[in-house]
Amino acid sequence: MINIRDLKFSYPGGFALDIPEISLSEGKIYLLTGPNGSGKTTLLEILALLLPAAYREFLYRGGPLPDSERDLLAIRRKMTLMEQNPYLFRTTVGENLAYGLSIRRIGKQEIGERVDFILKLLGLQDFRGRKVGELSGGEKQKVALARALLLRPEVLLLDEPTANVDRASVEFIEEKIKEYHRERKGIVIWATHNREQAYRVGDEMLCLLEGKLVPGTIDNLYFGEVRQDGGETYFFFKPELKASVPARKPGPARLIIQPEEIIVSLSPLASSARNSFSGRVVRIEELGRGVSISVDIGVPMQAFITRASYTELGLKLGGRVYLTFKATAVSVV
Amino acid sequence: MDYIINGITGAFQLIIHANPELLRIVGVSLRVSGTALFFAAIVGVAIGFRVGTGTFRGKKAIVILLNTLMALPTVVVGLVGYSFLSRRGLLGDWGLLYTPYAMMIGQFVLATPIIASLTLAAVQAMDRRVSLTARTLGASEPQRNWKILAEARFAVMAAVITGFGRIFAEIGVSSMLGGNIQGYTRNITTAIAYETGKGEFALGIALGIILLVIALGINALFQIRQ
Repeated sequence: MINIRDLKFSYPGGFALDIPEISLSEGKIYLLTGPNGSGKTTLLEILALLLPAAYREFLYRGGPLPDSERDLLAIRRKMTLMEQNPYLFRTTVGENLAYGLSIRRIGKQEIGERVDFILKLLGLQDFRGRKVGELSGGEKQKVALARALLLRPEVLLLDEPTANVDRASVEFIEEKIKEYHRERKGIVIWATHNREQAYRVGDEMLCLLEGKLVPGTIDNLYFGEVRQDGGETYFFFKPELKASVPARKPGPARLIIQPEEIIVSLSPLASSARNSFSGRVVRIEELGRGVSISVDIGVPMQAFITRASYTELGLKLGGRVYLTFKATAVSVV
Repeated sequence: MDYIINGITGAFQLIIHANPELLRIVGVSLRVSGTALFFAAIVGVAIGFRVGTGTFRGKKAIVILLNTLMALPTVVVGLVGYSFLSRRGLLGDWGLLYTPYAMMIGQFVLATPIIASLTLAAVQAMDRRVSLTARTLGASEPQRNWKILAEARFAVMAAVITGFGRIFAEIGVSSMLGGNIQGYTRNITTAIAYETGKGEFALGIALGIILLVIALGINALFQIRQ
């Protein structure tokens, strides 16, 4: 539904976003992860057509973005961005919710019905006449979410929607967004720092690092050096720990391994995979669709396996395991 | 002291009996200052908003100019206005000198920079997220601008009220451009000065009380609305 090629954006201060290609398909929830300052908010604002970026091609539903401001507004009205620290207009909850609809010239009766519906959906029935100044942080976040969902956007962009809210509200907000997405389809792009959340709600992961999209997640991101050794190329996590990687120019580099690409076993595997490490399990976390295993192989490394594999392997904290992955399963950037 | 006590007693009698001269003077003040404020609010808010939200060359110079004009002495405006509107002046043919219109023009010149400057400060202090939120909810450019103004409404209202305070209580422009003609351009401040000069304290005090009550009423109304 959204295809962009050669996306470039830079702030006067120097930070730059440089994405050769990004394609987002209808019906999916994309989890946008990355460290602070990696460009998540900037990318969301560009996707929401709020920041003007340079690009070779920006297709929305197969068509290029229009030149005229009026036509562009029509597309912008199919998208909504909920900011990390959303601003609620200094009026009542009801008027905040109605704003997006009233500027679309929707009739008062329909606005009233839709506002009532969304308030009920988010358990905010008694909030309609409340002034926003009287709301708690969690309530404000819910109202901002209600305001975004009410517009039924094709593209819903969420910038850390559960940051700064209590645990109960996090689960509630996640559930409502998933519920909305199941019913509405469209695209949800959800920026988060929370890896548990990423596994719980996301269909696909987009990871940003210093303004560039990198494959995988930030779970297994290592800073080290690429060197040639005996005709092979290795990434050195530290002097005594290395992994075989595809041929690349020597020098400082970052290695990323997707947790899903790592095979966990109780004994060494006889396979063509070039990398096999042994270590002890230091953490086990159940995350939505599977289980995340953290193993100390000299550096912490996360693997993501299914619940069935986890049960079958009978993994325990402190137990010895082997992590195996192909040289081609890693990305060196 | 007797003359003051007598003046106060007389003032209340004039107010209670709705003295026609008193009402005429108050009427001139309200009509002249109200009209001047209406136009100054439109122009001042527009200038303040445009300068406050825009980025362009010379913005700093405009801000400095507006801030300087805020402190413009009323007699200077009266003097400049007089030089333009007097028979020998550039706009002498219009025959506006010593009319309520001349007073309106002078008061408009006095109030506009204040309203513009305070609106500008209000808009600049506005949370950056207002604009972003309005846009992400689908607002067009004019709708977004309107929303920013709506969010800054109390500060903008305060700017307009400050402008009103400035012109409702000024005397320089009113006396120099209005001429204090009874029943025509005599307003509260020129009447107070004139009556006091004659030793007629009752009318002066009555007008002073009304001036304070109007200023108090407007500010109280604003506080309640806020």
